[in-house]
Amino acid sequence: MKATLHPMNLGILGTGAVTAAGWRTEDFITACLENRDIPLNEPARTAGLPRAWKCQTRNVPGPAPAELLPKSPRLRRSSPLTKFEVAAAMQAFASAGLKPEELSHRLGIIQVLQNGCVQYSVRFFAELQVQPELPSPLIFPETVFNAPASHLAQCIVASGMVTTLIGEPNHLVEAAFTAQQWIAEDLIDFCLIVTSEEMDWMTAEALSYYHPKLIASEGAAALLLGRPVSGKPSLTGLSALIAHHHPKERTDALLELAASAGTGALIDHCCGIECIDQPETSAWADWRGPRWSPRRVLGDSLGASAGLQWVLASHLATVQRASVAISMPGSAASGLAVIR
Amino acid sequence: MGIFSPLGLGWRENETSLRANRTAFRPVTLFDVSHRIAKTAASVDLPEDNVFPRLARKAAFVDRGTIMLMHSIRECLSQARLTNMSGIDAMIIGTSAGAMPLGEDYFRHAVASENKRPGQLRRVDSYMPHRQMALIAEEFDWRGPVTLISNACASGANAIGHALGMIRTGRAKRVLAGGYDALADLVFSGFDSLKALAPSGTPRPFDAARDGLAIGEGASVMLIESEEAATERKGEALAALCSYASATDLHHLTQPDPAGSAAVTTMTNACRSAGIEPSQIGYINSHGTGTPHNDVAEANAITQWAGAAAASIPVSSTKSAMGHLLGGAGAVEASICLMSLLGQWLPGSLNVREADPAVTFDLVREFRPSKLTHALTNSFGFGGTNATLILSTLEGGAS
Repeated sequence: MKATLHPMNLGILGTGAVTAAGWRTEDFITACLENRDIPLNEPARTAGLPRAWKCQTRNVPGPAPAELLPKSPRLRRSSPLTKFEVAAAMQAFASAGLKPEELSHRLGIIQVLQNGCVQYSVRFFAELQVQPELPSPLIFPETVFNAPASHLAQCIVASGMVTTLIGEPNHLVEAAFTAQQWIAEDLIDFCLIVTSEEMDWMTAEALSYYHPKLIASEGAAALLLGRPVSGKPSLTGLSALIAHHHPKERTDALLELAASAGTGALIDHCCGIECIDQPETSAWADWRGPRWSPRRVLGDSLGASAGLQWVLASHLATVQRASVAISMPGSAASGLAVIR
Repeated sequence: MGIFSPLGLGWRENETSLRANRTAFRPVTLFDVSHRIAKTAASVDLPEDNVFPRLARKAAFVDRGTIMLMHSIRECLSQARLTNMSGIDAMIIGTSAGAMPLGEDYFRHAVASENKRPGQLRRVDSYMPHRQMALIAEEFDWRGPVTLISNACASGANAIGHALGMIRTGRAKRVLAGGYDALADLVFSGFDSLKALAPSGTPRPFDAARDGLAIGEGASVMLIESEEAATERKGEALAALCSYASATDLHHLTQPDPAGSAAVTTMTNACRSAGIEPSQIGYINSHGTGTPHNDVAEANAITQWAGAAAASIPVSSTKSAMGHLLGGAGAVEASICLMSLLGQWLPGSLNVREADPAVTFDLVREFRPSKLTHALTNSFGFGGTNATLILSTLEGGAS
């Protein structure tokens, strides 16, 4: 499949981010632009034998600032993932100068996850092993992928189109195409895309199997999309994901995508580990513009990471009035977006 | 269309079972259910033939649900007279649990050792459903986009509806869409912990004394294409996918609004989009899980949506025969609607002794021939996702 940047007609009206750098969007932007060090944690196992190897994470610090979360009974028992999403979403609405209740039925929600509420799956399954006759009925419903999106929808009273996509971080590309599709079908006027992830010991361990130095991270990004508005950045180009079945195909796909990116700034997906970054590094070797790597600063926040790239790109496009390319490589497919 | 359900592998076996009012519930043997209230489910027997012949080595890492999905895809392609996935613009698949049994396996190995264990990278990689879908793409040497939708039990219907939207807006002309889920210990135990599973082992949707649902497993996919795309390849359409509507029930994470307001919205919007009245619906394949809360909410919704016309609308729940296929349910039930339209028959809502007082419609209690032009199917999921699809005969004319 050839890399083609499809012209898009989506304005990015507001953005929000919750990351290991802090609960606020500006914490994330500052950490990326200043390349800040973020403290590391070592999550202990909550089931089975203790771990005898090093496995580190960067977590969202402390509880959510009260003013970032609306009062809702749904948030009392919900996962950290839900709170990350709601806090990011509220910041996105605030930065757009819109109140969610004003958008009502014309607001859609698309949640993008890779891992989801695995923390709850682990807790529920661990209970099953220890006391098989008494697993908690309160935990199980939180294990489904779309539970956080459901809580978010309830918090902002969005009773229309709400869906959850699962896959690699770059499935954000499909989410953006879906948002444009829903607007074209006149189902919605605004679409809130949230990409998010939470870290627990099992996910952190799982990630370390890919590379022992890969740091697991967590957080959420929220992008409030709608028809383009003057003074706000727009998603101007988006490539369909280019599928690849072999490493050589991935290298070729990344080269094609890099060649179609134009000029300006680049937000890449590099994590700072050479053998993982190599295909992306070589594909963008000729890039001469400024370049940012949020994953290198935060760690790997899996499903949240592409959304965070877009949040940073939106900020740079607004402040620098420049075109910003976003590289989104994956193991099965890769994509590219341009925000201006 | 391709289908693999507890009632059989393929269209013919499923139709034969539905015609015979057969049920598929049997003791669970895939995992230990000795501590569970419910002991039965509707499971499938996987055939021994390898559905991943090109990827012989990698096929060992394919999960049970993906194998069912692959059987469905192969039947669908064969029926559409396609030898592979070339010419298909996108694949959209719904699942709730994905490859959960592989995740369970990863967990068991992780907690049993202080150290890293061999095989864990393979387990964690295979656990992720998008990796399983990538294997399907690789098996067919296909490079189109794969979208995985996970809205619990509405996932399969959402996938088909999303495909319709892609075609209507010109994003694609030919899409493979459907859903799947396989039995998994965590999921079975989860529903059991919620006391949602029928202790009797027999789901009785819309029965006054129903005591819960039964879990099933399976998969189904449809090849959905624009009229122009079908004509272009001289493909013969089986039926028209007329409309899709989705809405979100904000009442509770796991319990529906008793009035079924989101279902009223989706049925109303789907009919409006198709340009038909409720009275023209010749069959509703209900979500009909057999839980006290779901069935009364859906019955109330049908009554409110159809008004006086409800009395003449035939409704059944095929979950009474094959159980609740979770992420696969919406796709399998849409495929049953398609079979009903083609065969001009209605599957039964089995095991009903006395209908719930909320039932105002024509509850189909056993297989029967019928004349129908439009069939509607409802899917509701944890989290509140409601979805309605309407399929019509080709003669019925899709608007």
